[in-house]
Amino acid sequence: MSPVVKKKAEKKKIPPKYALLAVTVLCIILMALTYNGKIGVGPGSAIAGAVLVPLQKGLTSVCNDLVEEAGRRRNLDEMIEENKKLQEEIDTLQAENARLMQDRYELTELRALYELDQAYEDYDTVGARVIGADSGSWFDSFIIDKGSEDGIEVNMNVMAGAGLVGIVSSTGPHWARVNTIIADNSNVSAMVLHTQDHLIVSGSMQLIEQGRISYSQLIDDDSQVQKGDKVVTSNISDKYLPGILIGYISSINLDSNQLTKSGLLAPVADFEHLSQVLIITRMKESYDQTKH
Amino acid sequence: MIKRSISTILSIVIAFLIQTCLLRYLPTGRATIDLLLLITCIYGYMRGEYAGLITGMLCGLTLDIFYSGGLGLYTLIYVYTGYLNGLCNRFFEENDFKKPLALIFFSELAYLLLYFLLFYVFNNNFNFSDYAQKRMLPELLLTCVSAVVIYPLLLLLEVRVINYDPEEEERNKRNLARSVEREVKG
Repeated sequence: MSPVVKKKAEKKKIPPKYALLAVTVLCIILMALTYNGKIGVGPGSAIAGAVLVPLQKGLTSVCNDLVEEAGRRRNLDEMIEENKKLQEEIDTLQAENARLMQDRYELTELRALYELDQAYEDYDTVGARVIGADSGSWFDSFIIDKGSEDGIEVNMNVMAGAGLVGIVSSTGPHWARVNTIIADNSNVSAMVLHTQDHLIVSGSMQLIEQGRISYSQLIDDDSQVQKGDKVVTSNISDKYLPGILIGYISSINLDSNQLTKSGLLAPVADFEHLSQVLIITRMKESYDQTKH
Repeated sequence: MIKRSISTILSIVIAFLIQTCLLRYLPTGRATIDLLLLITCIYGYMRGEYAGLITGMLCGLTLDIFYSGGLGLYTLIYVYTGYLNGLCNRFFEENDFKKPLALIFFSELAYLLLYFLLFYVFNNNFNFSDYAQKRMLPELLLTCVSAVVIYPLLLLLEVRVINYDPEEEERNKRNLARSVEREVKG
């Protein structure tokens, strides 16, 4: 027997079941320490982030290019058609915009008269690219290519286009994980924009396949809330900034307690095809502080 | 030993990248292919308890860091998967493809059931039929189908590249002789 083999045999003297036991105990201790937030994932995430995140970035950008290229070739005719339609739409929108600008001017005037705070201001945002999804095609949580060193912090709100997507749940140096509002354990305090009635928007991976998320606990005694009403994040939420559009009401049912209503929302953000997101760099806490 | 470690780490990195970056372009809804679990099972089965344990630990830690609120949960699941598959290493035969596939099938099934318990039931979602239809069964199928492709590849790599030195060969032969002896005795 060669000495090398001997060495290996000696090395394996600890029976695997003790190694398993040690790892189990270690895992349980780690779980106890990290799940209640006493200790961050810190150093581990830095190492993994340094190795895996650059690779994810590269691969994702290559894939996006390929998918775009494929789509470009397939849809040229469709696009010409669509372009015409969009051009028409732009014309009508421009007309509408001109009218709205006038309204807005009037609104600021009136607000100044009433000395009201500007209710829904524009938030500062940072763009980020989605570089990794959790599982399957639906984004119940995903990884973006900006992290704590780019100024991203836990609990920052994330949007795609005009709609709310979710909230930053953990960060590494150059990556962050976003939990979306369609995830099964997500609950967002929201309100119907024109009646200011509060409701709770809950995610469900089952409903999102039909393009919907559910809401509940809507108190609307006068039945003023209608299908198609805008639902935005409420000002009583502890993590979400007020006034971010979530979606439009698509069905309303009276609950069996005859007091509250629940139903479905059509979210504004396209949760099946997320590639770019906007992170609002303002935190709810600082928002509250400046208000008071 | 070095070759083994390199192959383990490389396969984990590649599997993780494919799983998180490429598979979302597949139109499979919520189901995905559990490449990390697949690799844990295969290395456990091919190399034994220790390798399964370590591969499982690396895969689990990666998932924990990126996709769970803390550390340890995925790690624990993957470590046990690797270890249990490693226990089956004593039945390892190079030419038998049924055993590893059955192992992968049962590992994935157990994993998905546990996943339902941990991530659905604990979040007060008891809709098992929906989970089974949309996530569990497609995922089981996809993972087993990809195992048919991936297992032979990794086996080939293991036998032709990684274990290709006389010392290992000798040990394998001895193991084989021993298992034959055991069978004869049994």
